Amino acid sequence: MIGSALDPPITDQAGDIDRIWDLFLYLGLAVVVFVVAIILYVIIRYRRRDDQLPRQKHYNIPIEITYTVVPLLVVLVLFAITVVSINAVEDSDGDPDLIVDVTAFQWQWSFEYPDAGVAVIGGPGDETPELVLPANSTVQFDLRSLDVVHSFWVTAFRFKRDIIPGSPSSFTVDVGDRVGNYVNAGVCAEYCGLDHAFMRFGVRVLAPSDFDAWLAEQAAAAGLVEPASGSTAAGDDTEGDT
Amino acid sequence: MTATDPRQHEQPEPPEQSGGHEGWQPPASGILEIDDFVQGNGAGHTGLPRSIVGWITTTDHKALGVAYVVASLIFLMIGGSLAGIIRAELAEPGLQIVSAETYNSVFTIHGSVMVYLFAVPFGFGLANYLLPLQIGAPDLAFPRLNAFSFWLYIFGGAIMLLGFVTDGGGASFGWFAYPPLSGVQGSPGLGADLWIVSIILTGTSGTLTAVNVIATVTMLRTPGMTLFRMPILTWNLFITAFMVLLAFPVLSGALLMLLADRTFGTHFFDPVNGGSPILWQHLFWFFGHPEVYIVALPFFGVVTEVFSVFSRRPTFGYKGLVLATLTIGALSTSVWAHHMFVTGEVVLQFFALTSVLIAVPTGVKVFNWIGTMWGGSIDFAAPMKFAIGFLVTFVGGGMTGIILASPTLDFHLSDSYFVVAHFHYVMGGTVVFALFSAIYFWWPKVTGRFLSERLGTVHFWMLMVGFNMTFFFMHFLGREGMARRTADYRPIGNFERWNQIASLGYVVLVLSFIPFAISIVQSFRRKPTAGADPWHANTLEWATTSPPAEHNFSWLPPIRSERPVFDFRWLNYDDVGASGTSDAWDARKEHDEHWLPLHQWSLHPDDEPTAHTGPTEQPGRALRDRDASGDGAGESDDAADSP
Repeated sequence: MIGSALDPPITDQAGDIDRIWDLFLYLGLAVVVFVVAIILYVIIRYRRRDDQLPRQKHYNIPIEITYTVVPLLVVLVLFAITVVSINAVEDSDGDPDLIVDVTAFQWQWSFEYPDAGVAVIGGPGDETPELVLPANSTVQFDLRSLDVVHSFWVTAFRFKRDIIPGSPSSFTVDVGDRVGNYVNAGVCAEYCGLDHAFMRFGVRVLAPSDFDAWLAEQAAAAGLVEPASGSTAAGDDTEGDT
Repeated sequence: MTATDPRQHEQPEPPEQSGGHEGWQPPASGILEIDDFVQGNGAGHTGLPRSIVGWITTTDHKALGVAYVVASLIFLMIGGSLAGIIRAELAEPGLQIVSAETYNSVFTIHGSVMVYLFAVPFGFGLANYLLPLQIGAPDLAFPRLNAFSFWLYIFGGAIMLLGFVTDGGGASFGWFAYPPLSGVQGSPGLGADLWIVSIILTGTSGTLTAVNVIATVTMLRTPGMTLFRMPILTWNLFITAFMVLLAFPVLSGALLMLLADRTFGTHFFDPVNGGSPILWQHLFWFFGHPEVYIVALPFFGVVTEVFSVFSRRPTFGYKGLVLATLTIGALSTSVWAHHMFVTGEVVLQFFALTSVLIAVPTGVKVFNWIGTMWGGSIDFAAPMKFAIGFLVTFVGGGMTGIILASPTLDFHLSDSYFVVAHFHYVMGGTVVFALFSAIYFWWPKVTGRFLSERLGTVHFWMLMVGFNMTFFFMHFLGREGMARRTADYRPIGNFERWNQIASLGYVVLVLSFIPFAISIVQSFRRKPTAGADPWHANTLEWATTSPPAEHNFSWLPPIRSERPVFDFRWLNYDDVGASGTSDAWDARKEHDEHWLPLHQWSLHPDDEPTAHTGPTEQPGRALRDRDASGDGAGESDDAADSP
């Protein structure tokens, strides 16, 4: 087997989500194994051996109460864990160090760093834009869509947020210290038309000093394309290139 | 399947006159054969129309039931073929077979056909054929409305498929049609309009069928058939009908709004002019989640019957099971926004709570089924194999459901292949396994013939292997980051390998239908020898000929529990029915004298008709049709006493 296609969690929230995932996964597997084991036991133990009519048992109230209450308690525990984890995922370390404006349009992304006046815009064809983030910082993403519903999924965040035109939304994550280039980490998850499958992006996490250097370099570079113009062109082109 | 019971010392004398047991004393021991009581042996008639005009004009519930099942299986084939295009394209990364444009249209119509035109109508087919039989009625309450529903469904389905031959091809916005993509700018083609009209028509068809089912269950139950003596399948179809009434009109309304947006320039869902795309999502999923249970509940009913019959045990915790189904129905109206966790616009905690809670009644069902088998005498005939296959698949799909009910995990897994795997387990696998369980189980009733057990075994194992090969590895694909509805994927990790396994699994899945097809052909070459009750089953559809004659019954056993046929058959055994005492027969006879006169089908033609507020006038019609001299449209209280 080749290694996992899934990048390691690069935010604190992603780490939390992975822990909850492990918990649910192993608990779920345990329940599946338990129930399937009972099923196998029953169908082997009680297979037809003769033509006797078995005892006709219609109900057993204590057992019925047990198999209602025990699953109820299990799911309530899972629910409690979920509530705590939702709070953990939605909680971030205070004010954001960086704001990134994410604009989705058919069928590309643009990532703007408004404080620095820098924009990274995906072009047509195979050119995948790159979302560059500083390590050890709190980043707020402001999301908007120019045309249809998209979904901003960063698999390394273990998180996605739908981007619904007309209702901008935002979320905040605490980027950890996993510096690296995660070229496969970004996907549009909500089906958005013709080239939905190719609406991808990469994520690169730089050390804070490297990030500042990258931002300065980008700001210095000339010929920035305004996201609005690029998006209009792409949005009108509904027939698109395949 | 003939039972030779060791405790059975002598064969019971068959009643002198079939159609009633006046003057007939029960045997002191042994089991009763239902065939000795029903009139005719079913051979020589099919109970179905014989000409094309007959099929087009029929209002008979059995003919329409068969038509529903056949039509939905044709749509299964169409949807399955479209899935073949999907699996061929995804067998390797890059675009090889079709363009992205075609691919998008293909998965849209695949999902729409499977959800709207296959899964739900198959359940309606069960409701049509079996529900009147299970409650001892001659037909559904509104036979012409029923025929109208069926033809609406056929026209609706045809209209959706017509989209493929329009300019711009079929609809390509996914089966949940999120605006603005489904708006006139996002999807300018005529195919999109045809899709919307198609779903409105089939939705209306479903609503009308639901009305019919509710009227039938409330008004046409035969005397003695109290609500808590109804078979679980009937219960589930009844509850499903209420959910249809709640959910389908919401969808039809939303679709009309979408159609108005597209054709009349309204702005319900148009964000540029102050409309709200999220409103569509709420309306759609308010339909969409009950829809999942609308699909599933009839199949839950099927396996409940099958587990009970092939374990020779009553449904364990019958009332608890009904209560669980009612709970599922109630909760299913308040879980819709778990499809919208990642929009950031819904209260996560509330919908997470309702979503995990629905696992409790669902789990209760699983334990009911296991409890039914526990201590039983399990016969692994084909229907039982498929029912056990259903159970295992369902437990797996249920577990991933719990995972997805947690918003924390859904943030990552939503709209990924993990979700695709999940709903193919709960809506694809379970439906297909239970569907074949139903077909193998009721085939002798509908045709009078058996399907091959040997081919059934081959069919079952090929389906089991093919299904799990196709869908199991999609869990990994989703968890590792492959989004759904993509014509292409990155060649990273094991993506290529897992997709290849899935595509190979699809081939096995398709091949598994070959033994089934052979079995059908073989079956029609055999003589109809099944008899009324080949499986030694429980419910009233087995108390008539196979196939049942027009208007269904010439005789009914007394109904004293949810298993009238079983109780009658095993009359002489302790433990069976409501009474376990030695004078069980006396109690039974008393009951018969009280109740049988109210079964209008049990009437002797000489009986005096008297005024009686029976369940319906229709049984009188059944009698008249069967016996020209029998004009007794009523019944008398002392019918059982007069020879």
